[in-house]
Amino acid sequence: MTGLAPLRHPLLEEADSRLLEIAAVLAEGDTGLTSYRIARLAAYGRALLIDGLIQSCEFDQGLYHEMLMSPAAALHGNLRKVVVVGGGNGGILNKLQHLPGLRAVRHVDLDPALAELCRYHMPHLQPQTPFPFDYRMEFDDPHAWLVRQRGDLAGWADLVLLDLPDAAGTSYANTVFETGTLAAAADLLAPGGLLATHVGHSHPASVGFQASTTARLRHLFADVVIYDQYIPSFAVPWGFAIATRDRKLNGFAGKSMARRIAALPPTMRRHYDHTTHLALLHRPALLRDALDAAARTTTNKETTT
Amino acid sequence: MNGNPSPAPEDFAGVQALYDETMADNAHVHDLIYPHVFGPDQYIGQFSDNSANELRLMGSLMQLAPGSRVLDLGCGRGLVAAFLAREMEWSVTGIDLSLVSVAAGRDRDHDVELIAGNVYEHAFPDPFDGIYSTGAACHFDAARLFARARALLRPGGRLAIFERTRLGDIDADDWNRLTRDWKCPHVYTTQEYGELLAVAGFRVRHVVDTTERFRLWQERSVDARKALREEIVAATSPDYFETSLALAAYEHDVSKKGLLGYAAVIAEAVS
Repeated sequence: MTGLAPLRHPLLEEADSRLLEIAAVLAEGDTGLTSYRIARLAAYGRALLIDGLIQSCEFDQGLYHEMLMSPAAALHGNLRKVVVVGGGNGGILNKLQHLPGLRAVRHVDLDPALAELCRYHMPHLQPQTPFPFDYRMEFDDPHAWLVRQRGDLAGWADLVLLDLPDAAGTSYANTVFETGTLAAAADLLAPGGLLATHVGHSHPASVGFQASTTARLRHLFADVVIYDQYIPSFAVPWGFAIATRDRKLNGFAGKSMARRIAALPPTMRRHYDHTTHLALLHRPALLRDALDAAARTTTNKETTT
Repeated sequence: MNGNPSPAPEDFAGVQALYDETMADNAHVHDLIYPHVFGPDQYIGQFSDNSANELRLMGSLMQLAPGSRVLDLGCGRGLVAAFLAREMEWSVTGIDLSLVSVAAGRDRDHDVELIAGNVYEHAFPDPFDGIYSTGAACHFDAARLFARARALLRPGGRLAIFERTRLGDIDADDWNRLTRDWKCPHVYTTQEYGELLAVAGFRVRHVVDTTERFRLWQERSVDARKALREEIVAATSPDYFETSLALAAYEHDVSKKGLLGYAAVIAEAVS
């Protein structure tokens, strides 16, 4: 033990928490936009916490980022233009930069001070620059940026990637997951384009956020696929979504995915291989039932309001 | 204080003599060694144990707009001031007790104002938006320094201290070598800095621990001295080289024992 007080980390808000041993606190503070802590956890290495919640751990950040991005990249097959919302810690670009066909990335994140801190204290997340593609990064309110980009980037992106923190408390992620912002993100998609995002944890005892977010996505998009991956440092399965406005996503469960995954750069399929993909196709009944029940509640609420 | 004494009185005559006499010829030796310690693009003439990236990080976390009026407290030759003025687009004024360092800085003709003087006594015409000190706050009693900094800052202004920190109980011999020999009243923990900042009317916004790389810099400073022995001896003397190497090795040993760290503490003036 280090003598530092252990981190009490909620799994399901305050109803279920665990204790994590902290080896060292590397940085903590408040940028005015984000309340953050960067710590070295004894079990999982360097960790970024926002509003007290783990967002990324050295041990399994590669798994998280691949599960967010690689299924959509495999399903699309030819990503050339990508919009990234969030992901200022560098982890998503670290993966994305290896796509051979990539021509352009437009990137927005909220907090330049936090990004600077991650560059220093989270070196394992950082991509290799300069990039061989046209990369433009802005720090701005993602909601306002997405709405504004409807003018310049409408129909532009093969993939819109929402790499957002937990939509907890006062996080800006709450506004990005609102219907109006998701609609603005959808408007940036080129024909056949995909939106990929996390949809919160997939714990059967607490599916409210995932159910409501999924309902919004299904309302805005022609087809949506939801899948889960257990993220060890989160200690719960995490939900992800791929959405499209103009096609069916039957291919996600199709045999061609083995070939599509094999065509990804090795750095995008270290953790997301075909066996892992097959496991994504089967969600447990307890979770499905909880989501169905929550979806009925969400639908009833929307009907009555 | 867990066995370590209260802060000793500040000794500014001693600090001035340290930089103007004892270490007056140190700068060119420093310029030889530290490109090897920090890397060639990370050494900008700083005397503190911070790479250029670390200085840039501190500047970013002060979160001051371009054009802000900023004071570099203990600016030496003013090279950090010039760097941050350029990087952050600030208007930087530097102040230092060392006449030799300030004169050397003025000769460089960089775009910062350098003042030879004592921050407690100099009459600054207007409040500052920010004040920072990189590796110089150790020469001050933090309680007095923070009170003076608060008086010099506008409400909402930022104070950044990038400095060695105490991580454990330091025995009397090491304490004397780390404080008295360097004209430093004390070696503070980050928690003590936080408490003293609160008393002075600040709210801590960021604490960034850079100990891991500080230890790397110290290890490299020993290795670089050994590798550059001929150049250092040619520029100084065999005695200087041996003294400098022993000092660097000693400080690295103290750090390796887990007693010394390095941190940036950035606070906002609130009352």
